[in-house]
Amino acid sequence: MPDIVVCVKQSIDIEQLKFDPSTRSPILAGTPKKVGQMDGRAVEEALRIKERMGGSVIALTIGGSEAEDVMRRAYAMGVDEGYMVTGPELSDLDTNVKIKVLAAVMKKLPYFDLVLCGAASSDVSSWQVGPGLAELLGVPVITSAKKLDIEGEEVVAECDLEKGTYTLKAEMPAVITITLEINEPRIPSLMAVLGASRKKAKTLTLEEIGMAEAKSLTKVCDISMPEVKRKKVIFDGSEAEKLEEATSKLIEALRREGVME
Amino acid sequence: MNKNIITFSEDLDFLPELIGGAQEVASKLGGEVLAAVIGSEIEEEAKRISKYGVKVLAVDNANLEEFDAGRSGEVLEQLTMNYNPELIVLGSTMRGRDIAASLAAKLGTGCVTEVFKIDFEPEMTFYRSIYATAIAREVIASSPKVIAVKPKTWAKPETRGEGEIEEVSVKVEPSRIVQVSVKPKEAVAEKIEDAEVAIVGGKGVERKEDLEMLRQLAAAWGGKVGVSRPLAADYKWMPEWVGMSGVAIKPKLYVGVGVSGQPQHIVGIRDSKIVVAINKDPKAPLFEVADYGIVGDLYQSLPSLIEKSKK
Amino acid sequence: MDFSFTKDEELFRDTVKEFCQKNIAPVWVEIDEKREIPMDLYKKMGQQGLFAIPVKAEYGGPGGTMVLACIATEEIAYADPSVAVAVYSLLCNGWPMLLQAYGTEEAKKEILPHVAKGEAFFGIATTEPHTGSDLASHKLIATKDGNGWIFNGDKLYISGVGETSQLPWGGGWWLTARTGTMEEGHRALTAYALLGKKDGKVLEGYEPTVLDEIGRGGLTTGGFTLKNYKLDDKYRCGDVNRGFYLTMEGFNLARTVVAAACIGAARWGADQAIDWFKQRKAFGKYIASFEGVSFKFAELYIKLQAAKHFVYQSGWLADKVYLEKDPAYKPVDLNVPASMAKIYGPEIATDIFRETMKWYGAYAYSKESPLYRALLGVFSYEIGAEGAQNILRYIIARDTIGFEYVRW
Repeated sequence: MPDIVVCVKQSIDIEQLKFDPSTRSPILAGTPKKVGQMDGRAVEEALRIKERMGGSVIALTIGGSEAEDVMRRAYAMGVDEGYMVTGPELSDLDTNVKIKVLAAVMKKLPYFDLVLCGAASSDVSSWQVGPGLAELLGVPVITSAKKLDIEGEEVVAECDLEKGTYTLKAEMPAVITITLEINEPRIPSLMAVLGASRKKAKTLTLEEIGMAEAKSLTKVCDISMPEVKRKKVIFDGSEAEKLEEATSKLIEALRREGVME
Repeated sequence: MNKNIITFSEDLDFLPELIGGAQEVASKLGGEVLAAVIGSEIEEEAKRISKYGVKVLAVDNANLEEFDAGRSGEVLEQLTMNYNPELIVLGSTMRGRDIAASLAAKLGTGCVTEVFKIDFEPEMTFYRSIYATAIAREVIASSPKVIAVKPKTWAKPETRGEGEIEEVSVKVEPSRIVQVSVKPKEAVAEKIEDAEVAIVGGKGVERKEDLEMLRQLAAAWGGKVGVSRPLAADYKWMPEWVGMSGVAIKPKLYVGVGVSGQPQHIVGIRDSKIVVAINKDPKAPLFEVADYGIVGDLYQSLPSLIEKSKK
Repeated sequence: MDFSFTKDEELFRDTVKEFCQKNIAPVWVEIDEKREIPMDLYKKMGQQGLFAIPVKAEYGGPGGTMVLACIATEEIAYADPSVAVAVYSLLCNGWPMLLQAYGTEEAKKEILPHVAKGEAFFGIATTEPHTGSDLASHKLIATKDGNGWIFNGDKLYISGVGETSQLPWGGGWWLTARTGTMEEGHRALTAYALLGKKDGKVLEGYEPTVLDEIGRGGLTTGGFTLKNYKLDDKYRCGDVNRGFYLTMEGFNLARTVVAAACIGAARWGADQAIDWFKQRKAFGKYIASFEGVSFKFAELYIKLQAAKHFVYQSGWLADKVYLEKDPAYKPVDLNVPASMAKIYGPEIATDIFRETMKWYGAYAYSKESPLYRALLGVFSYEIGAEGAQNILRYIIARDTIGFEYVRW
């Protein structure tokens, strides 16, 4: 009956992110955010473990006003409890400090067997939270798990690394980070959405967890989109008659470009 | 804090690149480059690395036989306490990132991973990808700076004599991770990173057998075949994929066949000289970053292209 | 005045969008082409809580609201602009809501849980071969017989006939039948929850037929003949001879979700137009740089937003009356808002499709483009399904000017 804590947060929806053509910088204001793809799978995996083995799932998030939406979604998926650290200052904190905030909240939680989180966020993708948090909690970490099982006191994970697929085992408590291929998250039903609205996450301030003085250790100076000037010459092959012309034109163009004999 | 740089990668084939890069940084800023070689019975490895003209910090401890990111981080922390480097350069491999994050958390310092370029004016600035296709320039305010640098950012240097090997003893507990088994990756017959022409299949390709059509086109155009993430990671049609977290390619010609062109894929093909998109959906994002394209059914376009290429 | 949706409503909309993108959008053209909705989709939608939304948990429903039903219908229609799936779900949301208000406990407990699960259909059967708008002139007769009723007559242009036959439990309709003389007109109609198939068995005396229609192919329309069909009195809804009034209330509910389906499809159409504007050039310029095009789009956009407001205002009122039972609001308060929604929704939808097809030009005339499927789908509501447009204008005129001055 494992007690699992899942760290989950929203990321910028990069498929909807637009860039200002003159400054080449991202237009973040107004771009929708949603729970990161790997984070969502971490919540799903925690719930699947609970369905198989019993236990509990606590969702933990830090963020601004969107933290409530994250908790609502987590409750609708079926987590038992939610904790959130919110405040406007949080959006300014870098990854390294956020890891410290998570560790500070974890100290307020009851005992846990597993901490799950996405291997990387969908926007910033620094890959740091899992291992950094494990270090502060003094527990082992296994990253990028695409399969996860609990056997007695141990957690067994299957991970695709550069050289191959590794099956790794560690004694709990442990931190495991979750990658895309592990599962397909459930879409909460209306009944689950309505049930979730009756639940309220516990809110903690930075002060309450002793992190009021937290300052970022890194700073992003700027973000820009590299210049990509592509020709965008598109040939219409949508109908049979046009297809032959399109393929001929493409081959002509590639010969002209010198990338084809 | 002196201007020393400690370099480390759990992948000893990658470590020389980091040494070479650190030596460039040191030549600009002063300071000495040290290379940490950590493990159990690592005499040979330490000698090998010392041939790159660096002082090797050899940490030989039976407890370091099996990999544990936290333990590697603890060892590096002790080296940091002893040698006071300003900069710690790790390799941004999957395990390298884990160690970097672990080390940074232990030191209470800032860390930037996935670095692919460093600038020095007005201060040391690290370039990394963000939002899949954009580039962030980041600085680390705290000391020491911990960074994880991507493979192929720097060239592997020539060997240049023998550096000193200093045996360092550390206190470290055994690994908490047990490696139950490893299934090595299928040897990729032809590495797509080396291809001049890359024909890459996406979700528009319906069956694994249809990759044969892509192979025929690749053969006609002197290229190699790759796939996007779902076809490798989910369907397992190939052991690797082209895109973020997969293989980045720089061919002179990239052809996306039934590839929609999500940002995570685009970032892996960005440096292609010519990008071609073949997709029946005129709204596929790949067309936005293509030089040429055909809006049409790949199952008709490819046979037609193959036919015409035979002439 | 708070024009925002609640957090629940926003999360629900997100989940419905995700569900539809995964399960409906990839197959809507195939559904229209093959003229059938896959059986497993009904079950999935039931599990997702997309049917009988305003029905309480005690009757097996998700315990939601009409506003949530409008959100679900809108998003389903966005994913399936032929509106076949959307119409199945709107009927199974609107008419169950009426059954919940006026059916007997037994009938509700028997029928509604299966509708919620996607095992049974529940729609509306008032139209007969000779009358649609003139409800009062029904010829289908219900005669009292002991503890029940015997029905004889026909209904025609009824949605869901095929679905009732195919779904595992079956289903039926809110139906009005004559229980008095023709001269008594609308005062001699009684309403029933009439089942065609119950618990997997087709009922005796119920003979369905399916029609061939020009659009919305995924959902069947047909008719049925009742020949000495027997129905227990527990399926009667409301008092004898009060059926007309209750049915009119039901039409207000149904028309609200009909309009929601139309604005969902229309929104999809508007997005197709915007996509086109971002690609297509003529005479060296983007076609939307010609004001004949962009101004037209702006006008359509205004009407689409207006239609959306009518939908949600009507939905909000429906919840006030039927779910919150707020004494400040009465069923007749829905007459004008629901009629406005059902006039505007289908008309803006057909307008958007007609104009968008003109912008696309020849491509839209070929079957490569799915736009025609959406046009034909929503057109059924402009033609008058669920209420002839002019009857709705009459309702608005009557309720605003005064019955005395508009009666014929």
